[in-house]
Amino acid sequence: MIVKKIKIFFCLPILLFLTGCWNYNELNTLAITTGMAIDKYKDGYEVSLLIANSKRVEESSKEGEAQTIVYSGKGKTISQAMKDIDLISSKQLYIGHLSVIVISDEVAKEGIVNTLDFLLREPESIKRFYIALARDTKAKSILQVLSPLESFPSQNIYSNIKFSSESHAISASVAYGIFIEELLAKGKETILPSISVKGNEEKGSKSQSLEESTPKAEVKLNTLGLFKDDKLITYADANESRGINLIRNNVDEMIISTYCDGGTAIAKLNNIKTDYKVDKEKVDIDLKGVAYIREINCNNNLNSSKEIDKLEKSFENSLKGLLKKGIAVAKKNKTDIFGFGNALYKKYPHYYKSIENIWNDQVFPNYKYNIKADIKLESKGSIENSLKGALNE
Amino acid sequence: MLDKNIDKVLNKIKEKYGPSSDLVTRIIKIKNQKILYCFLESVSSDDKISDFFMGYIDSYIKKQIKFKNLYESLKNAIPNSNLSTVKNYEDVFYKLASGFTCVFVDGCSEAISLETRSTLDRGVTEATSENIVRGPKDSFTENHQKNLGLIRKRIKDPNLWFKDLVLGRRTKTKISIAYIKDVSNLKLVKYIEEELKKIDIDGILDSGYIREFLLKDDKSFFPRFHSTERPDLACMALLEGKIVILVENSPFVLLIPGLFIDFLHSPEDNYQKAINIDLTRIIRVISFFITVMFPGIYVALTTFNPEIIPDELLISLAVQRGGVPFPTALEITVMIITFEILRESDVRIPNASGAAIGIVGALVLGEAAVTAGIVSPIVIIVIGLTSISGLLFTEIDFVNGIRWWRFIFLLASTIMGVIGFVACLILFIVKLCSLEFYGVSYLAPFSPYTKHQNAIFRKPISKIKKRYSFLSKNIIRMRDDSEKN
Repeated sequence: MIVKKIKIFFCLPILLFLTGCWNYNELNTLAITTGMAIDKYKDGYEVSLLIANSKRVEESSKEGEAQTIVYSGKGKTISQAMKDIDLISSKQLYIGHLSVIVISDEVAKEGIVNTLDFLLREPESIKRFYIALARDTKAKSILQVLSPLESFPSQNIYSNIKFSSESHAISASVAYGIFIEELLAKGKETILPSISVKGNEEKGSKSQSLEESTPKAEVKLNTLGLFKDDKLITYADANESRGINLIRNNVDEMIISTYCDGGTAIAKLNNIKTDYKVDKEKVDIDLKGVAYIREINCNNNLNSSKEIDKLEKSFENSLKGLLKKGIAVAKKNKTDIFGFGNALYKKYPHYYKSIENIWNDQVFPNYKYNIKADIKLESKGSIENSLKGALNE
Repeated sequence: MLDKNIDKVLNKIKEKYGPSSDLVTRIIKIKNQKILYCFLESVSSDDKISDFFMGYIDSYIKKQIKFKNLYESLKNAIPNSNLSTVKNYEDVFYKLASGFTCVFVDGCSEAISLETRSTLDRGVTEATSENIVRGPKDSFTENHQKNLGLIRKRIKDPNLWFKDLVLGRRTKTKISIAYIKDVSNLKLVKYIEEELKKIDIDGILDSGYIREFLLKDDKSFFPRFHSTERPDLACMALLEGKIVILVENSPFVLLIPGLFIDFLHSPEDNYQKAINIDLTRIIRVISFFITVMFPGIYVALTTFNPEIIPDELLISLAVQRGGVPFPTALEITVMIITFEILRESDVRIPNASGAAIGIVGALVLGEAAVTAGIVSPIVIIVIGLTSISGLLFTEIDFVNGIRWWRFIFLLASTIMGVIGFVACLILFIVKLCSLEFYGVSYLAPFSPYTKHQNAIFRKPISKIKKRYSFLSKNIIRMRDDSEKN
C-alpha cells in the first residue's frame, strides 16, 4: 500500500510536463484575433483576421513598426475561409478575444445571415464584440488602417464605437448578441453603425504613416445603416441617425443646436430618456432630458425666465425635428427599426398577428406618431449673458 | 527505599552517574554523625549551596549546639524555601538533575532536598517569531517556572490552575496544563491529561511533540493547535476558555483547541482600534486565498480559459511568454521551488552572509531568469505575490500547510483547468470542514455557524460580552450592571 502511494506521488509531477491535456493551450501558441473583416469574394467570402500578438509587439513601440498582422483567407463560408487562414498562420487561431467585426456593405446588401452562424456557434467566442459596416471601402482595409492613439486597429475601432456612440448620437454601438436578438425579434428591424476610411488606405496601413503628425488615413465613424431582415437597405444621414438613436434610447448625451435671437445656441443634453407608448393607430413618443448651455451667440437676456423658457422651447423643437427626420427615413424605407411592432405585439398579440405580414410594408409607413419633448435648462455655465450681448450694450 | 547506610547511598549514586564529572559529593561529620550531600554542579548554583547549606552547617558546628535528632533539626532549620524530603532513588536522581541538593544523614531512610538551581536560561526577552507593533513585548522562555509566572502575573485569579505532569522516561520533562477552572471545559482537561499520561517515550523536547501525541491520526496539512511564544496571547486564549499546555524547555506553548481563524489573527488585533483591524483582517483573508490559490488560478486561466483575461493583458501575457520553452505549470513549479529554497536557506544561514541571499535571489533568480528566457516576467510577479502573501502568517506550520495546498491547486488546475481548480476548491473546503478536535470544529465559528464578534470583523472590546459557546460553558465575559448583583 505504501509503495503504491509512493509510486503515485512520484507520478503526479510528470503531469506538469504532459501538456497534451484536454483543451490545454499555452498562450504563445495562440494567434489572438482581435478583429475580423468579411468581404465579398466571388460567390463566397474573403475573411480577414487581425492578429494582435505578433512577435514585434515588444520592440514596436520604439521603432514604430506595424504591431499587428492581417491575414486573409477565401472560402465559400466563413469557416472555410478561416481554415484557409489556418494554412498561413503558424499559431492556432483563437477568437475568444474578438472585439470588433467589420462587414462590407456589399455583403450586407445581399444579406448577412449566412455570416452569423459560425461565430454564434463557436463556443470559444464571446458574443459581446461590436459589429459594424464598412462603408464605401473594403472591410479589410478598415482593419489595416493604423491609429497613432491605440496599439491595434481593432482596439481603435472598438473604443471609437464605444465612446463616440454614447456621446455623439450619430453612430451606435451594437454588440453581436444584441444584433442577433433584434434580428430574430418580431416586429423589430436592426441598425448597424458604419465606418469609413478618410484618406489614403494604402499609405495608412504602413507604419510610416504613424510617424507623421497627420496620419495618412483615419478611420471615421459614419452614420447608421438601416436593415430590413438581414439586408442593408440604406444609410441614414447624420440628423436622421440622431433621431433614430434618440428613439432607440441609445444616447446618453449629445450636442444640440438651435437658432436664437441673432445667432446659434449650443447645448449639451444629458440624462436623455425616451419612452414610447404604442396604440393600434398611433405611437406617443415622450422625450425627457436636461440641457446645459455650452455656447451661445445671441442677444438674449439669459437672466429673464421668459427668455429661458423660450430657449427651452426652441431646443425642444429642434429635437422634435430630429425625431421626425428619423421616423421619416424609416417609413420611407419601410423598415420598423424602432420596434414599434414589437411593442404592439406585446400589447395586442392577436391584433399584431393579423397584421404581421403587412406591418413593415403597409401599416408602419402610415402609422401615426405624436412627439412630446421636455427639456430643462439646468446650467448656463460660468458666465451669464453671451459675450456678444455684452459687447452690444 | 533509600539505604540507611550513607556509604551505600554514595556508592549507588556514583555508580549511577558513572564517569560524569559534574557530580559533586561530600561527607561531613557533625558530632560523630555523618552527613552526605551531593549535587550536580552543571545545574546548581554554588553560591546558593554555600549560602543556604554550608553556612548553616558551619554555624551549627561553631555553636556546638546539642541536638537529639540531626535529621529532624536539619529539615526544620535549613534556610531554604523549597525544601522537601525524598524517599527513593528515583526522586533523588530527578531532584539532582533539576538542580536540587540532596542531603543524606547516616542511619536515616529519608533525605532532604533543597533548591539550589542555577538559572540556565536567557531571561525574558522580546518575542522573535511573532512581531507586533503595539502591545506587550515579553515572551516565553525555556524556563518552566518563568513561563508559569508570565501567565500567573497576568491572570491573578486563583481559579487559574496548573496541572503538572512529568513525561519522558529519560528527559523527565515537566508539562503543565493551564486552565481557568470555572471557564474552561473540564472534560477536555481531563481528556488531555489522560491522553498525555498514556505517553511513554524516552524524551519530550518541545511542545511540538505533545501536539503530535494529541493528534495521533492527523492527516491534515494545516496545524490543528495554535502555538505561540507570547504570554498575552496565551492568556487571551485562557480567558476565552481554551487550555494552554506549557512544556519545560520550550518557549512555545500550545493553545487547545485550535481554530482555523486563530492563524489569521494576531494578538495585536485586540490592542488596536477595532475599525482599523477589520481592514487588516480582510487583507489577511485575501492574502490567504492569494497564497493558496493564485498559481492555480493563473495556470487555469492562461492555459485553459483565456477568455476571462482582458484583451490588452492577454496580448501582453502572450508576448511575454514568447521565448519560454516550458509549459506554464512547470515554469511556476520551478519558481515556487526556487523560492522555497531561498526561504529555507534564509532561515538557516548565519546573519553575516544574509546579504548574499538577497543578491542571488533578486538578481540571479529574478532578473536573470527572465532575461535568459527560462521564465516569463509575469510568473515572477505571480510567485512574488504568492510568496509574500504567505509570509503574513506567523505560524510556520500554517505556512507549510499552505505550501502543500498551493501545489495541489496547481496540479488540479494543470490537469483540468478551471474545472479542476473548482473541484480542488471543494475538496479543500470539505477537508477543512471535516477537521475537529474534541467536538470543536476547526472552521468554527463559520461552520457550524455561531454568532461571533471577533472572527473576521471585530467589535470593540466593550461590546464583546460573551465567550464562544463552543469553547466555554461559562459564556458571560462582561457583566452588565444588572448582572453584577
